[in-house]
Amino acid sequence: MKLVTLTLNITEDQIYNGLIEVFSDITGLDPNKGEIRRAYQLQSQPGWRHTDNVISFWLTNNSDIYHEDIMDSYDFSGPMVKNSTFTQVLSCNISCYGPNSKDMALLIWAGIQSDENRLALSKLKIYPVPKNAPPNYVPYQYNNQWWNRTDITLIFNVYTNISNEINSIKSVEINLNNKIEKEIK
Amino acid sequence: MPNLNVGELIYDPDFSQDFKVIRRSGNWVNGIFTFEKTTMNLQGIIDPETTEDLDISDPTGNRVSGSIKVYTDARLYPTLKTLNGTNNISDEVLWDNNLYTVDQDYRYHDYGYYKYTCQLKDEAGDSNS
Repeated sequence: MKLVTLTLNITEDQIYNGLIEVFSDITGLDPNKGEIRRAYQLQSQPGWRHTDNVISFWLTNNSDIYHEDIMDSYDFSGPMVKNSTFTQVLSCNISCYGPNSKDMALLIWAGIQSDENRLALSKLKIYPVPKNAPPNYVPYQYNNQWWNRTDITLIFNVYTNISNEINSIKSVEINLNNKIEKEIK
Repeated sequence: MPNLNVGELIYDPDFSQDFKVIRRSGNWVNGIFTFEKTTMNLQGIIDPETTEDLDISDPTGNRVSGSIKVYTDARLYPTLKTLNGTNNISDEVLWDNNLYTVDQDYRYHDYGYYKYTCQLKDEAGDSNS
């Protein structure tokens, strides 16, 4: 079986880190204090208090017609490389907890569309889709207390490229034989 | 404070045995909780409740669950936001070559001991998890 190495132009970590930086700029929360966190960490993560403002988010691929086309191109400049380019349409599911959950959700929902944040994300080839549903306030009960929670979903288009080296024929030796050995009828 | 203290049974050689506890302390780095492990040698009573229960319902493969009860005079934590300035996730008990995550604690410290329920962490059914 032949081993093929596929290289992604942008990894999941890079997408998460880019979004964390923008969310931190918008809300003023610190991801190095657990105030902005990735959801579903495999080794789990510490809890938070009733009075803590915390944002947790995760990404998943969205079913969208823009996601369906993969365009192939080839780079002949060095070793032959095949590039498969497509748009990942990602759904960013954000849950905001704490006394300021509604405000944080609204800030993110609106602030992600600002020129500064769009520019920052565009450097990673992440592009927020302009229209998103407004925040949804969903308080819940835990340990006989009501906890504030506000959810929002943002959609991002991410320019994605998968490249791999492929075999190519560099040269071919062609011999022309002008001796006719057999008459063709 | 109650007068009854049964904590001395924790160290009674008829019941007591050695086990290890792994404390996981760390900090947040850009939204990801990263931690280091510290191993503590403790003594106490282990009650192997249901050490391995087989579950064959997942088409991908068999899974194993289990739990033990631990009686000790040391304070263990299911989870903790801050302890001495650091963040912690749940302690793990290493017993009989398997790891168990501290799931519930029962603070009978007024009577000289703590009781913990711990869930088997490795579902693959292997030892030395």
